Amino acid sequence: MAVHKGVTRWLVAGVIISTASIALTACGGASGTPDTIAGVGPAELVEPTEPITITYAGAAYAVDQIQPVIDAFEAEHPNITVEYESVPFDDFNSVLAARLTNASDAIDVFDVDMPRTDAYVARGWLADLTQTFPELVDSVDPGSLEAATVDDKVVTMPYQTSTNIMYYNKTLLDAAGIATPSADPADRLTWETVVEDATRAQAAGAQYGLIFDQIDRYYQLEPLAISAGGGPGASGDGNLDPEVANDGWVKAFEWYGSLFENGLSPRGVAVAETPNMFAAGQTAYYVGGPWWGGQFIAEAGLDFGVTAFPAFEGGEASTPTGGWSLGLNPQATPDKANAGAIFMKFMGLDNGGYAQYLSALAVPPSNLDGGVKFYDSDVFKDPRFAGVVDLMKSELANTSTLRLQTVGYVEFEDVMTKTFSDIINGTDTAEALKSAAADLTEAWAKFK
Amino acid sequence: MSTTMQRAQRHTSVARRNTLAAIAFLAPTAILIIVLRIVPAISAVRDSTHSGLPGSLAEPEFVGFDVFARLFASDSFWQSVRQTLFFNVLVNPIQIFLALVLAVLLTRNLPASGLWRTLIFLPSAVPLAGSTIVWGIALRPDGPVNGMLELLDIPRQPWFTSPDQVILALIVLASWIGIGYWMMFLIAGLNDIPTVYYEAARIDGAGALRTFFSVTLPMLRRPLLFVLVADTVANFVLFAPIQILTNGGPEKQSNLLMYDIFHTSYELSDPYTASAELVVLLLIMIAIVVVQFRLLGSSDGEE
Repeated sequence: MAVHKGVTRWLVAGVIISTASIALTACGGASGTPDTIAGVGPAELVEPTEPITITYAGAAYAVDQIQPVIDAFEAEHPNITVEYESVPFDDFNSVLAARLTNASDAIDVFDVDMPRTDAYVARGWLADLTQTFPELVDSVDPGSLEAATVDDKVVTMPYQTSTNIMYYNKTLLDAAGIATPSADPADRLTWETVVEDATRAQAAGAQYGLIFDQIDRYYQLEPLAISAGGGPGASGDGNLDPEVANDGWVKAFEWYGSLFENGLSPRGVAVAETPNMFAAGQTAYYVGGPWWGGQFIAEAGLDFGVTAFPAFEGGEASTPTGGWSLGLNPQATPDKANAGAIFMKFMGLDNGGYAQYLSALAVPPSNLDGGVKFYDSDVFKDPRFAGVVDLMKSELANTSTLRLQTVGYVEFEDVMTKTFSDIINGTDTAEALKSAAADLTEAWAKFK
Repeated sequence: MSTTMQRAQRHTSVARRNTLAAIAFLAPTAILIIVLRIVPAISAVRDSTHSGLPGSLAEPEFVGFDVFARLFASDSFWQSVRQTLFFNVLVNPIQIFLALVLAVLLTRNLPASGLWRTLIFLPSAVPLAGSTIVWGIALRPDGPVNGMLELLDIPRQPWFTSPDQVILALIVLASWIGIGYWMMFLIAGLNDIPTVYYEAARIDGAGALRTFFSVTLPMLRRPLLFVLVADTVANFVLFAPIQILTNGGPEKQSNLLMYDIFHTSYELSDPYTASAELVVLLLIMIAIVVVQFRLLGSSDGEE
């Protein structure tokens, strides 16, 4: 009996002491800040004299794709080692949230999805780089510069932008007796025509009529809403008033939902699977990025061509754009921030930037000198890609539309992806969009 | 020194040694419980009374019950609570009933009962993520399950892609894993029932049903209580299949609380709202488990 009592007392004491000490250390850890750059990037970059390792977390490229760039960097800057961590796009936000706040396991440089720039600034995830890269202004395309600038401060190093085109399978179109469209932006097809032709192609043997590369992502679906007159999805101060249930949006997404209803596009397919469906020769029209070019030209039996991203009849032409920038951890130590900024400069500015080291360049770099090398790449010399270079240049200059710029972009994209996915699965479009607008109002309340 | 004092001294040193031994044995578990259970629960309560911009690195400010007030005003939160309760009201009885039926069947002298047991238990040896992916493919609109249904002239079902069927599909998945696992505990419980009770029942002329309800079920109460509580807790925190297959959709029908907590905390970088949801989930689970203990555990004189 006495023994039991003693144990209990001991245990209780132990529980209290350890709980208290853990609580104390938890509190203490938050307040003790080590030596950091406190949110401002270095004004001057100094080549390190001691070996230093920086961690770069990326979602844009797989390890083997980016490796030649890192090798070239390390050859030029022998004292800096770049530890590259490839993070799946879907997990990227949660990884950044966890690893930017945790000093022991911190990321120094990381990819920033352009539309999330405002949100990341509000979260304090991005160091101010205005004094670090004064030459940026004259070196990148205007869209990239706009995406990198928040409240007149440069907060990221933009390195890659993008555009979209429509691929068609010539064999399947020929079988249905459909004339192949040209790559001239003036000959842009309407979505109405594409659906008509895709239906015919399917009747003539194509498994799928029309597939969107980013099947449920706002990046590729925003132009539908814009072309139908619905706008980018929000308006007002800071773009925090949802505009996703207006007539234009309903028109655009009733049309999009009907593709799945009528079997022109397959349900239950993940984004990663769509290019294979075109590469396998089963799909008549495929709306996608030029980044699949390498995969498609590798299919010797795949006879395809490209044409402009379509628009609705009578609607304005709009194409997806935007890409990736690099951000610097505002809590980095001065040494790591210096090395990280040297790496960012190498990626975005030095001699046209990272693009020259990639074996197969998939998207246009933000750097203007680097762009020349992109358009000159071997992929686009394949005869099946005839006309694509002029088409991409024209789209980037005339029709490209940045994604909604708002501090609430993370919530916006989250709600819209789920809404698009519901529309694909057959939910009534007007209902789904109305519910999305309500969700956005609720999610954005905290930013107002 | 008197002998009484020596005896008393020896007595205290034995007691001290016992105490130390007990502490040494209990310490690892106690520390784990503190670090993995108590501290996170305390920090969840603390976080739920604070607020800050999502993902912000600035210090959060104390806001009292504001986060809860916002949460309780949100339709999607209540939908999440409703769906969580709906899922659990269905999945727990189904799993436990089937586990009990299988346990009773497999403790009868069936031919090759060891083989059946192994086959039924096997799914719980597969990692949850693995079985999730397999079921995700099996239940795809153009997947093999629908192929088999078509052979039987039953129309294809949308499963995970339909707001009306997603909970059903999740129940199928969770049960495929859960039934075999919980069955093993019930089999152990059944084997513990002394045969004299069955002999007595036979002498009294009780039939199979009567024996089951008057002997088996009462004697099985303790393992059944454990299975009931543990299964309920497991299903309340079910997360992987939703994260991998549905992301809470379609139409938020599979947006169960545990998934929503993860989503809010990590994907939307709002740990404060997530903590408030976690506190609500904990309270719901505690309430349900208390009721379960009352129903099954009370009249059984504990010590």
